[in-house]
Amino acid sequence: MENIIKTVNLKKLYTTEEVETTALDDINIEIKKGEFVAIMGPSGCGKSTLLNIIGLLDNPDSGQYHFIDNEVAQYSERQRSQLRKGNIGFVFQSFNLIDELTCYENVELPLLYLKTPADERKRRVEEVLTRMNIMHRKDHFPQQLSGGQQQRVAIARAIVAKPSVILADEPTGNLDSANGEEVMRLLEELNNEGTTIVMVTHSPHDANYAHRIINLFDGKVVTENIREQFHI
Amino acid sequence: MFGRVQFRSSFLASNLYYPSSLHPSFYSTTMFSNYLKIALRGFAKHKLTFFINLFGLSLGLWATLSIGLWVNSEMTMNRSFPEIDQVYRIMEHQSYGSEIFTTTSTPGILAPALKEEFPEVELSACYSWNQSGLFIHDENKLNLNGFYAQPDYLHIMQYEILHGDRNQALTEVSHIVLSKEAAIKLFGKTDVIGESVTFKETEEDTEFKVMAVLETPAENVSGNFDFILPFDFWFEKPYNGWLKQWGNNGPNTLVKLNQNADWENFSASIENFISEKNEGSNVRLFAYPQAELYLRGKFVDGKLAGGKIEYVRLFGIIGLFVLIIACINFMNLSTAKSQKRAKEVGVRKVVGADRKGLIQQFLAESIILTVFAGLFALLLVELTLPVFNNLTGKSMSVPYGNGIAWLYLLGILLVTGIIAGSYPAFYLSATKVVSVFRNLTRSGKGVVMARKGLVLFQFILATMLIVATIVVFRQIDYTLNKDLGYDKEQLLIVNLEGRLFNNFEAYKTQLELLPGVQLASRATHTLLGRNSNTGSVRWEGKDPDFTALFEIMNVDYDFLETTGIKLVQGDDFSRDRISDSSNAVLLNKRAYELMSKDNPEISTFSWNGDQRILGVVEDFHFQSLHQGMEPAIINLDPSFASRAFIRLNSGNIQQTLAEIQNVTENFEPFFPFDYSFMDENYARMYEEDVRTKELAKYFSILCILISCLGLLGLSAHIAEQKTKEIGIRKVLGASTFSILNVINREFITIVGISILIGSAIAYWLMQDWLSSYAYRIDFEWWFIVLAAGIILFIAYMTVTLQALKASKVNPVNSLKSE
Repeated sequence: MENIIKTVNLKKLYTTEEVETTALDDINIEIKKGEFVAIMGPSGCGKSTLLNIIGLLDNPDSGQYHFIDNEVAQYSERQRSQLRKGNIGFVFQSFNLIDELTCYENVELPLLYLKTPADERKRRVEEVLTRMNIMHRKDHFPQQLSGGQQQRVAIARAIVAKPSVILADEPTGNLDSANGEEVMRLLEELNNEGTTIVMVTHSPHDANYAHRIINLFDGKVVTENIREQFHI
Repeated sequence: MFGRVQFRSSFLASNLYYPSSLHPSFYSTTMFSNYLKIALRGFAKHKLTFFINLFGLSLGLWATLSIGLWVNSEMTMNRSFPEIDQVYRIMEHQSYGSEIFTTTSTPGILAPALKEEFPEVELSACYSWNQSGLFIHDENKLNLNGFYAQPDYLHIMQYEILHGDRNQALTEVSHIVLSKEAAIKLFGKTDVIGESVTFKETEEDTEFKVMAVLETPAENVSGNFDFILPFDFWFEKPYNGWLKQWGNNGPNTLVKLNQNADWENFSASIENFISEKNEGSNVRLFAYPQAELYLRGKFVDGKLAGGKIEYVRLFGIIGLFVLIIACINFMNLSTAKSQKRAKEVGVRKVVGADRKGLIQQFLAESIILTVFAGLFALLLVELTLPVFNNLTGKSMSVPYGNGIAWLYLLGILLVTGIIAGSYPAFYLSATKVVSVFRNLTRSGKGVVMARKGLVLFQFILATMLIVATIVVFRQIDYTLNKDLGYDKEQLLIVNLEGRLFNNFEAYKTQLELLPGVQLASRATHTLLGRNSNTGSVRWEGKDPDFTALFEIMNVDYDFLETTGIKLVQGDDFSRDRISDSSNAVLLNKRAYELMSKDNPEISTFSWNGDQRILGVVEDFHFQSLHQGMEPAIINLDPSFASRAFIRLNSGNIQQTLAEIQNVTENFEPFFPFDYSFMDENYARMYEEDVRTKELAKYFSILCILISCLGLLGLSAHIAEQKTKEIGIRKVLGASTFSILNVINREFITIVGISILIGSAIAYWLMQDWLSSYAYRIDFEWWFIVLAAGIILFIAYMTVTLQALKASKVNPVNSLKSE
């Protein structure tokens, strides 16, 4: 199967006035279309940095990054933004919904930026809200919802533009186990339908849903395990 | 719990997706409604910030719009007359030694001569200065204000005619033109063409026929008048023979040039017109656009030196200052709240927003707020317009029906919205999406410095305004209370009409019998500006090339004692010395010094024949304090002295006034009792300055109010940010006072630096302003101390209010929330 994500000798440094920290050091990974990959490792190992670069939110300092056959390592913010739209959906630990917008409006936002026509927009937003079983709360504001409900809205927002890849950063981190379980099952379902999923997690249980686990330590890939080799 | 859902999503694994493009207007409308939604919900959520921004911007816009109305009224003053760009005032530069005195006074025979000799002059008219006169119709007896003008006047200054015929009016010596208001007062109606009105003068009564009634001029036409009488009626009065000589100046002269005439050429060609007619004349004529005269009518040493335009500029700048200060509040609060908005920016970027779209969003937000503020400001303008009109001496109204005015308003709102929103928009939209999700705050050094810089700038402006206000206050108080060389308090001026004029001695005796009256005298002069002067004074030893302008004051006995002018040498006029009544004068010190410089033994000089110097009086101000002391000759000649000066005893002034009125009306029952107080007349001379003082006062209060409003918002935010720090400090045992200091020191340092910079700039600017006064106060150090005290006190109280709230928070709560 073809690669959707491929990095070659990816490097990222963080420099403050006194210290230079290597966040990512020669990262070489390949993720195939339709794969479900978990990235694990202790705090500060570079998981989120890698996810940000994969998600086109940040640029590496050196190395190559191929996203669906495009070399994007040196893309400008504008180019990255263009490419992100409709191709990548994000799910965050802290949901990151806009407080001033209702659930419906939060989910609608990516389609607005894609300039999707109003009737099409309405149809798709309602479709995903129904799928996430949150349609009955579409006019509520995020603060009026439980954590589980907020994360369902966030997932609805991530998939409404039908992206090829969903990047999830500790998607169950702020949820109780029952809600966390539902979120993981939902991601699995999306993956089964063909969406590539890259998830950063601390939870071995959540990682169990992935086909493959990439373990990072001090900015380096230390091991890569496929599901059959998981020893959890 | 999630239910199992049916979702067909073959599209989920599609290839690279690029956004489709729709019609831009669709996109912008949809996005705008999204921005509007966010903005309105944000306003509702952050009520304090919204209120501070709305209120601050409203106040700023209110000041700008009010000043805008005033500036517009001033800038369009006298420009609404048809063909006004062809109308020129003929003015004179008169040379006295190295000094040049510029005046609009001209000989009374100039206008017809210009029309006769210069083909480019299409119309010309002489007209007098404003005078008052008693008019009678049936039972109605009214004192009206107006002037005498030649027939072309109404064709040059094309006032709108309500009734009557412009071509007929003033063509005969028995015609009168009335204003609409005067017609209503006299006749009870406006259509009074052909009706008669009696003009009552001391010497005789004259019947005039109303030939035109003028519509009330627009608000932006200067100079009120009730009547216009034919110039010839006045010109032919026996006492006005002087009007017919080229060497005397008094009336004004207006010309209207042909459409194709070059006025600068014309102006150059009339330069020597008077000196050719009057050998030895020191006069150079020039033509000056009539419409310009109101704003730019001040000449110094023969050169244009501004005029009212300086006030227009000054207040234009003040209006701009206030608006900028309000905009800075908005910028500061928006960037201070940026952490709260950062998440939204990050999320929007993640789901596809680009920087341009975000800039648009934040600009839209500030423009929406500005529009709200604009509406509120408009309401404030409407509510405060009566007070503002009173303050500015105008009768302006909001031009609701004027499309261009609305466009201006829209422009101002748009520009304000963009200025206020630009910094937050560029700043917030630059938020890096990665830093948002890594919970990095963006209050980096640069931003904090920028915010401090804005507060600094704001308080520099506030300091400048406050220091300037203190200086203006002190100078105006100094002007109004300065020892003028005469005593302007309890000095009553009564216009002498009819029998009062003809029987002054008897009237004076009656007045002096009243217990409240000390003494009375009379004079031609008002003591308020130049009235009558001469350049033809000669004395022994005088440099023949030297000319000085001497003010002439024709007075009666007891003038010095009545007015309080001090005699320093020689004698006052005395009834006991018959010789005093002819060819004997008093000089002021300035005049005496001019003469004695050339001739220390001087006792006589030549003006109107040989004059004996009877005495010398202390210098006294007969002009505004903007001018220096000028030489004056006090001459005993009451034959034209139509102004009584009455010195009152302190005590019950109202009762004395009633008694004087009684005496006056017994003497002259027909003319109304027309009086004024010298101190009030004097204050009127400084109307512009007093107006500046009042306006400066209100605007500096406004300025500090808006600045502190910003400070309030900013300190509320800082207090919120420092909740954790305060909590830790409290746990460690900090007192409330030391916690107040944590927040206060952030601001007090900035405000302190602002005061230093603002005071320095204000010092420099106000020295320049003070230099326009020949008699002025010194810039004293305590002006700055006072301004600093006011600003620091208000700023400290504002910040402390917030800090106190922060210090009261239970540390358990503030630390738990972390």
